[in-house]
Amino acid sequence: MNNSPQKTEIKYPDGYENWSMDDKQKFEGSIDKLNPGELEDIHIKEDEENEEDQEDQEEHEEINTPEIVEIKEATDKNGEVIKIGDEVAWDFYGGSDNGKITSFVSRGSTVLANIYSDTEKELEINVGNIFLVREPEKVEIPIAPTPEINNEANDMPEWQRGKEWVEFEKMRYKRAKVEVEHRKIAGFGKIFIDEITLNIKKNNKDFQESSDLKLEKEDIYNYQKNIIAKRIEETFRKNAGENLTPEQEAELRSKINSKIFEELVQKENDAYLKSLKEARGETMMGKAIESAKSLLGTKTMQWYLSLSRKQRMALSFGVGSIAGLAFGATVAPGAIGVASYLTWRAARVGLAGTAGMKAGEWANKKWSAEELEIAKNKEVEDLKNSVLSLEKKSKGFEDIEKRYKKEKIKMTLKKMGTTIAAGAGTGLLTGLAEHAVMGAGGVTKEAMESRDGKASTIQESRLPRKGFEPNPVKASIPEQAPEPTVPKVATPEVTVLEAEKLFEDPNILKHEVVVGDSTWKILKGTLENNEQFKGMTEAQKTYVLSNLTNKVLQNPENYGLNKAGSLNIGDKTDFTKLFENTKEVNGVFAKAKETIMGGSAQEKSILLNNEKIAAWVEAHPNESLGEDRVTEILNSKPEIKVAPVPEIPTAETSVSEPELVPQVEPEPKLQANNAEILAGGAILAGAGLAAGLSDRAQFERGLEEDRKRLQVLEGGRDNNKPESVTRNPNLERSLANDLNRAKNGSELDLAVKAAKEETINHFFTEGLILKKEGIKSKKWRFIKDLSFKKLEKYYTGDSNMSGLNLETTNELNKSNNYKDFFEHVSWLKDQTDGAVILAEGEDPSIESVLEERGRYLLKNPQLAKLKKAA
Amino acid sequence: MSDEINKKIAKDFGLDNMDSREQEEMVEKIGNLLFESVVERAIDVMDEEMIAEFENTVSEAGSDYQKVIGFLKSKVPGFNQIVSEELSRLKRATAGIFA
Repeated sequence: MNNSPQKTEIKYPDGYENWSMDDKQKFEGSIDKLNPGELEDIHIKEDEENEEDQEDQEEHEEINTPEIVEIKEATDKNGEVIKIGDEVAWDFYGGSDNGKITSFVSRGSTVLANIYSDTEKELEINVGNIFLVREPEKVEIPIAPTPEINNEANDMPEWQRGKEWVEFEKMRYKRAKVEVEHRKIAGFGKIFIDEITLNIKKNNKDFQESSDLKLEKEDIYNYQKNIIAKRIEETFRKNAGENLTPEQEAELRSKINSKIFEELVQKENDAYLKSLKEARGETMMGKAIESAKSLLGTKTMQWYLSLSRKQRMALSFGVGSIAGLAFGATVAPGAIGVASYLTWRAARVGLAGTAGMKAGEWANKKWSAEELEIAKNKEVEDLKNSVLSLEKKSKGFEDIEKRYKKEKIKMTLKKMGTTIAAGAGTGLLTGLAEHAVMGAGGVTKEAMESRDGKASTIQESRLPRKGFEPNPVKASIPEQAPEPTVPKVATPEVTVLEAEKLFEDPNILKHEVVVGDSTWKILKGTLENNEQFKGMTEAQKTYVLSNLTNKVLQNPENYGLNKAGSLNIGDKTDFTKLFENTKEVNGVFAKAKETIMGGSAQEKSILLNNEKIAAWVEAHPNESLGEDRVTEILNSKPEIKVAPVPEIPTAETSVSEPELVPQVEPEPKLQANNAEILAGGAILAGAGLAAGLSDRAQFERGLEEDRKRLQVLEGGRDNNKPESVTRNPNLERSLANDLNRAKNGSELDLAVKAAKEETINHFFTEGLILKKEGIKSKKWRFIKDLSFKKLEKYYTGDSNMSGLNLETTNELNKSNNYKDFFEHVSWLKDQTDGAVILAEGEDPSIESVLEERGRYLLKNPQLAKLKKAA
Repeated sequence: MSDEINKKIAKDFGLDNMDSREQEEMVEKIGNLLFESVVERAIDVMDEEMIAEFENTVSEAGSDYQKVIGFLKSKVPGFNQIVSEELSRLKRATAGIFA
């Protein structure tokens, strides 16, 4: 009796059904044995023999003879050799894949092959059986024949005509499959079955033969490849004629090489990638993961292609790039040898060169663009010549890149008469300062002739001499707050054409620089052609411009600015690339509208700073507005007074409640939308806009429910009538009241908890493909216990004085989610009209502050009602 | 990129006989292939959590490609080996075929 699956079949390659009969027969005929590369695709066919009596099963297990598993000597990932004669077990997995029942052959915990069966019955027969690994018979790996192609047609390129090309394509496909097989990692056991692994016993005769055969095949493949390359060249040369000029010859060679690349390198790579993806589909990983991986690959390539050419090159081959380590392996002998990059850097102190520059010297150094470039190159060279490990060199390169990039931006901004302030507020302050000088009109800039007289540099650090009128400071909410605009849903493809969607006429993205221009001004003029931007408030526009200007300054050459980020008269700027990614730009728009709402702290801060700078400029018409000066002006803010802690009227909240309500000034100009958001529970309102309409509606619905539930529990009191107007709980406190409050408190707790979780999920949920709730994310776990006051100082004050350690600030810098979340929690304070403040000496975590402010807003919907009514 | 690295790339990929402009174009194409295959290989070894993290990194990276490189280097086991293998494969693919 034969207790192995009686018949096996290989999974048919894609497009098999379209093959010719000849090809199909050839393919079928070649599959009577398996080889290691196909172990993961054993399919059991249902046939008569499989209907054997199940009683034989025990006998099967004792016999241990069926040799269905063919595997050459190979190793698993742990380096353990899988030998001929090893026993492997057939286990039942019980999963289902494409309608097939799955099981697998394993040795210990190592999965050797996946097995698919049409019916469970067959598997029951075989589960638990022990099989022997047997020596494979020497058979050719079945080659997937190409569909019948009439490659003799005249419209085919010459090198593709004839049998040789067809054979070559087959070989290419086969070679790609084998290459991938060598690297394949099975889904469960992650074993690495590699017929040429170094762990194979090299004295094994079979291996030697196989290896020789492989080399021979590789030679044949390369030989064929060279023949085709020659054919391509001959074809092009024949068509180009003779007696070419050197220029024509160069052009011809370029065309030939381009075609060779396309036909031989690109297609070989395509075959390889296809095989990689096919192999992924053949493992036992879940379909969801497989799809996620596939999507992620596509998404990553979309991101990659959205980079500029220069960035892509730098990514692949630049210093610190993915290939940089492999290429940077050359190390100069005799250089200093130290353990770490930082030690190495420290060791440079005392030696010539910038790597040894002390911190103070570095900070005070006034760089020119040339000096900066030279210093950077020198440091890179020094590092390259060190004997640090590649990993440490890589860290060093990153450090150098970061330091010089920062210095470059500082230098550029300084030139532009702006300032760079430390911390997260940098972008905003940067734009603000420039805006005050450049954007408010009447700006005079001097065109400075360069030494050679060829280029005129716009010196933007000069002050306006006349006509500068500061923008009026808006103390109240704008009369016509812009309609909240739902960010456009960006399509995954990012193309140059998308810039047209933001602007009807893409030509407005191009501009020739004239006297009086600045990056800020040009961008502002451009953006005024966008309806969304046009409808924004001054503060929102400042936010958008600040963001985009900073982005430009990161890679100024991409937009027609010079390396240092400044402009010369006659320069041609082109901001097409800046607006290519509509998703990103719309995100900035949405963010501006969301965070810089009418009357918000952010708006007040921006307008206040605008006013400060404008006032200073007016008062000092002949003085230069440099970096230090702007910092000084902006830092001259009045000391923030901590509001006194009010009496705590209830047991469940530490915020001052009703008696503060009357202090809420009616804000009649607040739009209904805002009021509704507040009524619905302001804890999430800020998040809604960024998330888009559907998210926002969902948040509002959820919170509206929370609010209603509270109202019911509170006996259906009239929330239109502010509690504080009718009674003062401090005076009316009674045992009954306290009991009621305690009772309601538990419901309130639930509502607060739900709203809090939704908020956290909004800001920290990760992944579109495989979602991970924000509340469970690492980022939330990281930030939740951080001191709100420290974060406030970090994001809005002097970041160096925040008291947060370096590790924490490094993490905060990694993601905007942190900043967005902090801004949202800050914004909640405004929604309470200052009723919820932090007392002196209190140092709550950001999670506590979120809870406290959210609790207050859920408890006091009348606040919003009051605003709405007014 | 430094001249030294440029020369090394050109030599390794058999582009020595090309002029600098052509070399540059070819290196760009090779760089694209390299990145794609390295990413596919890297994704292959990622588990669910890493997939989510990597997706997030890519979403937030914008033009800060160092973020993506940093992630791959620090999180993907055997990343340097993957790069090295893919570089070797591409070097073999381009060796000795250009005019």
